[in-house]
Amino acid sequence: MKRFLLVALVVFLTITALSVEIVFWYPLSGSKGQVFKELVARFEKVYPDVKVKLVYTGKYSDTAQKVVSALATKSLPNGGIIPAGPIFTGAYGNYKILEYIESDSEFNMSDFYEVGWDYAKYKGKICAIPYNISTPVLIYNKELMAEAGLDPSKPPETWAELLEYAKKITKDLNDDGEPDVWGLNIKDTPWIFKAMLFQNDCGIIDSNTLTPLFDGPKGVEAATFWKKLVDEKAMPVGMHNLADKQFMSGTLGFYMGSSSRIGKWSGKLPFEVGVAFLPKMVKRAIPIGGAVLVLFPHSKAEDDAVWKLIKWLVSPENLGEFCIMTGYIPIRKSVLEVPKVRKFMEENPNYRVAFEQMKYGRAYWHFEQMGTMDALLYEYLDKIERGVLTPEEAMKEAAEKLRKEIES
Amino acid sequence: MKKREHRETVVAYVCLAPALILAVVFMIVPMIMVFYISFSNWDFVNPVKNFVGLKNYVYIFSDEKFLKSIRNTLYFAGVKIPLDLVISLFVAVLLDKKIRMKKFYRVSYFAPVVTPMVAVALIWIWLFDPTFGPFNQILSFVGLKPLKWLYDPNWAMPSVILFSLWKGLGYDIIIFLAGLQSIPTHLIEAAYIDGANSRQAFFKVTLPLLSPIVYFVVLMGIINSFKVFTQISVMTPRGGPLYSTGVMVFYIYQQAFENYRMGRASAASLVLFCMVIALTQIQKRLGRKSVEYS
Repeated sequence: MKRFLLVALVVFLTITALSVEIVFWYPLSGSKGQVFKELVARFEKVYPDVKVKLVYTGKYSDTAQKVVSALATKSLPNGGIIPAGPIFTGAYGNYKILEYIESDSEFNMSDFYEVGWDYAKYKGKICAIPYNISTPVLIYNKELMAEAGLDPSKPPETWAELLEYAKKITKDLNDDGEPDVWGLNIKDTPWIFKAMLFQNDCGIIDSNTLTPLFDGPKGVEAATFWKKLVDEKAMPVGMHNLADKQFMSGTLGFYMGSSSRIGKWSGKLPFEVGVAFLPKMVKRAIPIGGAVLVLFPHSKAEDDAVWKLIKWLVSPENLGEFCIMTGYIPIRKSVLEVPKVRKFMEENPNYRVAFEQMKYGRAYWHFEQMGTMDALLYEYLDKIERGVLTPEEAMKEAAEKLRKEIES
Repeated sequence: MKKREHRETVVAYVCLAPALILAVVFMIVPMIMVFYISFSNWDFVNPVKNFVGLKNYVYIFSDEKFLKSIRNTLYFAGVKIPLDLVISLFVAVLLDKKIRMKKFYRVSYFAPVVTPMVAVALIWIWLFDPTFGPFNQILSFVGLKPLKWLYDPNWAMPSVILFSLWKGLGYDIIIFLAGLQSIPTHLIEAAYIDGANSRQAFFKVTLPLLSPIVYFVVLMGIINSFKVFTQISVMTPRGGPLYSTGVMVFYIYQQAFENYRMGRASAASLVLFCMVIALTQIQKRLGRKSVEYS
């Protein structure tokens, strides 16, 4: 008996000594968080030697703030799903994850969309792995389209068509001079404006020199079109925060925003919802957004464990399941071949649109003033809409301010 | 004898220690740090804090957004404090009278104070909704043109002020009520016997005796109005239409956690600190002349 106990103790001690505990942060709440937790629980079953301590860190902005303070106090987790991850890794010379990517022969880099890697770079070097990525899509109310005499099976292909259709949908029901039904509203204005820039063949920022590129004639052209959308009453002035509410209440024809809305709305609203690619200007282009998987180096054993987890999370089957359950966009081509995913796309044609749109994805490398750039675009689009500045003045001023921020 | 005194001092310090240590670590040290960081270019990304002199101060004072945030803060405080004072005093006087369901009214005025700010702010966003919101329905019922409330650069700040008034009123009412109940009734009765009418009794007797309370309410009003943030950030993200609700604390938050410019954020915090100190000092001077203690 004594001997048995001793053996048991030794076995127990070796297991504890060999198993590694890693701390992993994630910013997904509600059902999305649940899906992620279940995935990780399954990982722990497959790899009993790794214990993952998951910590929910709030929404994206809160998570970024927590990483910032963890950097300052040197209390970083082992890894996590981190928004703007490359700014917290590459900018500090942490390209550890790239070493793993390159040394692990099982890891197939070329299966990922090139745009995903662009999104995971800092100064041209990969320092994260794209994970929960969304793209903006055009979501529309088929009923309102039909009421306006449009064919609900033919959503607008170009911005010019979108403007024309939206104008037909905008209606003032109670004659108070203020439309009650709007043709178009855009939830995240900087994001969609960046789509417009890419589509107009206009760069946003030169990745190498960090020079803003949107104040050229092509950028001004896009901004002028933006102004036209409000001038011709296709889109309300400055009420972008209401876009979700308007769409859900059936008083908005076209909604532009994150693909994460597809799952929330498809089949759950009292009217039929359609999803389409973003309309194009001179070409198709979709700026991707979201958060990335990062690794903060600790000990070799812990880093190995984090890499194991990351590799497991982005394997086609697991990533496919994550995307089906959450509505994020697969960043690996082979995910679309997973039988489960194929079946899902057949059953949910609305998702198919978002998944397939990924091939038009565009991204720029992360840089520290990214958030400042978005804030500036938001501010100056607001000024354009309210007629405080002309589109040309606004683009010039925004680019000038961004240039100064990057230099100082 | 001396030894005992000495021991008492030691005991006192030991008892104070937990509070003192917390105050030093979490208040005094950060305050000194803010001063130091405001002269550096610390940006989180670079752990090195380089001394840059007055650069941050030059930047914020030439930033139109910062100047606008000062104006917005003064607007908020300037409109909110007087309104709050008048309304809460008026309601407190009414609640001090012998009326029916007094407790019910007291509870309903105080309820907003104890409900979480974010929760009620979200509800008020709905009340302010330009299309379906009850406020616009009331306006159109009365025959007025509907407003865009939080989405109109001219109305966004008044909307936030309206909400903040509702949210904070109950606290000041309770303070005034306590003040009113501490006034000895014989003073007011004496005034009546001397032939004063109720208005004279209020303005000549009650109000002067309430002056320490008024002083306190205004002081707290100034401090709270200058550090307003939560409702601004929840109800008008990104500082509202054309930055019309971007107050100073919001500007500080943006510089620190959106742009990662800790230097600028610290400089702006110090400016805010100096403004509050200056205002409370002015108030103290004015108060010395007009506050009466019975």
